[in-house]
Amino acid sequence: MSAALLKSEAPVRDDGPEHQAADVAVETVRQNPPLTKKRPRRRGPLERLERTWGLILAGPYIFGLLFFVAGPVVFTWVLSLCEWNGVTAPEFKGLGNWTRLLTDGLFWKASANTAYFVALSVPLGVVLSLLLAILVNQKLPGIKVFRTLYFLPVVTSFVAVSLVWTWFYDPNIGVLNYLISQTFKFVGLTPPEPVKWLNDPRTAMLAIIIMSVWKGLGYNMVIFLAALQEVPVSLNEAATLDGAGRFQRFLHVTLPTISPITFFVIVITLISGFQVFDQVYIMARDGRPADSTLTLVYYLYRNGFEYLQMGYATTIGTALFVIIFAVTLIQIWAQRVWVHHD
Amino acid sequence: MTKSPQAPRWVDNWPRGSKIATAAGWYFVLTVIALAMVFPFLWMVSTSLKTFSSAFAYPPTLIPEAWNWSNYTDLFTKDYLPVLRFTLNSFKITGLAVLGMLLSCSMSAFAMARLNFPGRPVIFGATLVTLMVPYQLTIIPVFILFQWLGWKDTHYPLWLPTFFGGAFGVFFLRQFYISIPKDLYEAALVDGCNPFTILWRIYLPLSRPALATLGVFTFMASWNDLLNPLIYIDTLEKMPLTAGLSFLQGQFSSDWPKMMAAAMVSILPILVLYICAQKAFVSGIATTGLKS
Amino acid sequence: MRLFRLRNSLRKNGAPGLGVCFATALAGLALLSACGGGSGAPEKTLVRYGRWGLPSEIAAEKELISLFEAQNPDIEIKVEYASWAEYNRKIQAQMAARSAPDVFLLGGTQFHDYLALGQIEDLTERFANDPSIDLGAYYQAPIEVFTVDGRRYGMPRDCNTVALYFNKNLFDEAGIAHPTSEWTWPDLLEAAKALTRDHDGDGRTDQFGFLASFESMEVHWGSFVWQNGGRILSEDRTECLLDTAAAREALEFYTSLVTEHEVSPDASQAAAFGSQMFLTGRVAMTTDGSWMVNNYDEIDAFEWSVVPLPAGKREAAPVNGLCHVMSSTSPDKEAAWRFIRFMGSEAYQKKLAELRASIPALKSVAESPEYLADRPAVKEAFLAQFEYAQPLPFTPGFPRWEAAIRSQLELVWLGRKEATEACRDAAAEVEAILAEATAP
Repeated sequence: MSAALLKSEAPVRDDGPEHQAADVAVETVRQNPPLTKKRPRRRGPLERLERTWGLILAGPYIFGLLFFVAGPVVFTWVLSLCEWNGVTAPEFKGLGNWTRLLTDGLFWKASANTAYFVALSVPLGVVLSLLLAILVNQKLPGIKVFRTLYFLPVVTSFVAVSLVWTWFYDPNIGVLNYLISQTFKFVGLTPPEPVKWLNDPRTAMLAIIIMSVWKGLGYNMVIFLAALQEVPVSLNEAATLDGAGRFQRFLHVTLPTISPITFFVIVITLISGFQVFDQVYIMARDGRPADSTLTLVYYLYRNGFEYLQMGYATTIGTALFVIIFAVTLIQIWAQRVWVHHD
Repeated sequence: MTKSPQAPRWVDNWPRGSKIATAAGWYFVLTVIALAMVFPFLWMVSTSLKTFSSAFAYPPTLIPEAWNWSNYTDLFTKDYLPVLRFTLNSFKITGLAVLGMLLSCSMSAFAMARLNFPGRPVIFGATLVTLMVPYQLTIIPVFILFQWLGWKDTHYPLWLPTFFGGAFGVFFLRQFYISIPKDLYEAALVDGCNPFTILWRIYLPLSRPALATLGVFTFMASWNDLLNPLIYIDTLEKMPLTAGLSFLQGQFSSDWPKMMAAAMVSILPILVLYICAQKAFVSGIATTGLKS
Repeated sequence: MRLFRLRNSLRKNGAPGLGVCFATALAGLALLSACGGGSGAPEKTLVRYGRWGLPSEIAAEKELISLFEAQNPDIEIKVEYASWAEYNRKIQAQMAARSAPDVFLLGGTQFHDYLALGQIEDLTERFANDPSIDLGAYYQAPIEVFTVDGRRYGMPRDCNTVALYFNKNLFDEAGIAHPTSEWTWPDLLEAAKALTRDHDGDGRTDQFGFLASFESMEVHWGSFVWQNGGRILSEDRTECLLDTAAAREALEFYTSLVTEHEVSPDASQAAAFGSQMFLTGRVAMTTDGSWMVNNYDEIDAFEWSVVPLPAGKREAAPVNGLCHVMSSTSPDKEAAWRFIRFMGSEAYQKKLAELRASIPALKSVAESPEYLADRPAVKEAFLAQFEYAQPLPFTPGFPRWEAAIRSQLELVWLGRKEATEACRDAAAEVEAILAEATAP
């Protein structure tokens, strides 16, 4: 069957589709972090061809990185060592901002809140959206309608969505508590004390997490859907012939094949989870209640734009960068493990 | 190889009798999830049709007692907002942004995925690093940069940078290209095609779902962008739609039904695009037939 | 073998693909250059005017701007729009890029910080040397707020205060007499208790008597401290006096409206919904600004009116105003000044009166029979407060220390701190911030 597909560097075996699928995965891993690994050197002209075209094709992007991104980003790193109000000339302060950061209770509070957000919303968001993608990848009549409906929350702007959810969560007139109490009445139980959602430090962040997961599901679903579309039919068919069930096929064919995309989704969801801002900004201004929804980026924003302490804000941002960087490094390292070898 | 290509693949392994029951089961699950996903949206629609005072009634009602279209008509007539102008601006900016993003990201992602050129690891690292810096930090330096370029009160800051790619798009497409079997590339190379031709004739068609996804995402990000237009554009007539409509939100209070109406108007184009793009979401290798 | 066919067609058709791609890129570039190109040679001086506001308000001022341009043919005004939410971010980015608008609208909250950044032009000499301006003709509060160490920085635009809005229908339904200007705190509390209702008996309050909040010192809690004879900051604005008996007592009373008496929704609701709760009849009384009359006029479900704030040991209310200021980086300050001066003029102030969004800063306009004819009871209540109203203690770092007080006192509402404790901690935090923000 798909001999051509599995040729190249990976050794070809004929001992069953699972292994072949794994080979695809192996190859994927090989190519995934090739950053550190040198590929075997090719003949001169071919190498020159790749080099020339590589620079031509990536040229605009490299230019953009240098021009629009590198400057501002490096600028912020330097500023984390300065006192800067965002307007007049920055003043070098050495590690002053950093010592302040380490003793700033609110920074740690914001870090803990952010970690809580990430710890809950990222696994939920990734797993649920993958399940959703598999669900709508079925060839059922009318499935496109469901795909569209599931995408609705993504399309809607954060401002509108946040307003609606703030309203849902209202302890007195909110729909959510209304539904809860109606359900209890329907079952014949006395409704519980209304949950205060955004008004209670214990539930506020949870409320924001629920809303964020709901909002983001469709986004990752579309990415996974695109990945599932590229799982070669031949692989699945071969596995079916071998008597593999749906679940086995999913485990041994689908998951390994889409693993580069799963990696992408996890990295991106983690990064954006650490940078959670919009929903907190709109739904719980100023980290209400009692700083329980204060996240790192919101704290950074508040310092930079409301308190005019841009220098300190960049320090917070750089600290956040270091955290994200570390977590992403772990991701890059871990992917060698979670993508199957024999 | 498939026994009956027309029959839905998902029923293959199920006993014949339970097929209908299974289908019903799937539809039930799909519908329950759909309700949860759509409910807030329906709520927006309903609120946009309510009057100001009935919008906060308790117990809440999903169907407004009187359909109040004035929230929509006022947008176009009463509020001094050049909504049509906004819409044209939005289409121009968003169209260019999508074009730029797809063009530039597909080229550089291909180079990053398949071509061995000097500095590639550094650039991939820089791509990830770019994603890790919160945009709030770079607002001021980027503003100064764009001002220096003379882009004040123009649309350039909103779309021109996309022609130089974006970290998200490059990372995204690179991951897709990696999952396309490499021997396709090598075989074509042996046949004497240059890398650009390989990208154009093999990789782009094969990654159509990914391109469509990136296109929709870029469209959405550009269309819903509030911050950049509000910071870079000074003239009301140059505002794109979402940012322009945000002017309805006053300093002290906001007319929620009207804001919901505005939100509905501004998300409609994205919905239409998404529905149109559905066709492109499906395909890729699955239909290209790679079997011998 | 389809792949081979693919390869073959590839060899034949590779070049056109490339062509299409470059053509698209070129089209993009062509569009780029087509979009460029400036307008004709500007012989006029351009004065950029930055402000936030609803488009309807800005549109209403357009004819005034054309009037100004007709009177000053050498000047062209460009209104730069910003939404309230992004106004300060935008101004700050522009200041960093040395391109702040020549003239812009500013409130007291950010003024001291921008002044400390050296971004606000000192207008003292211009005021003194311009015979057409009589500062005595304006309400003094906005002028005071924008005067630091005897130097003047702002041309007053409007002058606003905060009073008690009440829902007449809810009072009538409950059979309670409407509030009067004679009201004191016990009257407020008693009425609020009677107006807090659970209509359907489900244990949830559907209607609150009053809206207490720490969202804004100006709108919500500041005046209670003053009414009890307390101060928020010391005279020289270096110390925080919230930890003194008078202030503490006032804040104990204010927090008890939520904790002990439960006549007000709690902090997050107030923050999320703000004036919506009064607008929709879910609170019967609220303290709110004179700038809200227009918004509240949209209400058709009930009748409402305004009385001066209830008195504690004494009468007290805040007064505040927006000013037009000049950017210190403005390239043509003379032209900018002419425009600023115009916005203090009677013509502009009369237009402001017509818009009804704010009380004009020019007394002769605010107290004119034309202005008072519309909603007289409401306007008289506001104007009556001008007798004793006082400006807020703005300083550099104001937004920061106001927020510190807010988070401390909201802890009382969450049952995490006693009011006395919160006052003590808030005062300490405020002083630390003041020390840092005013340090040279």
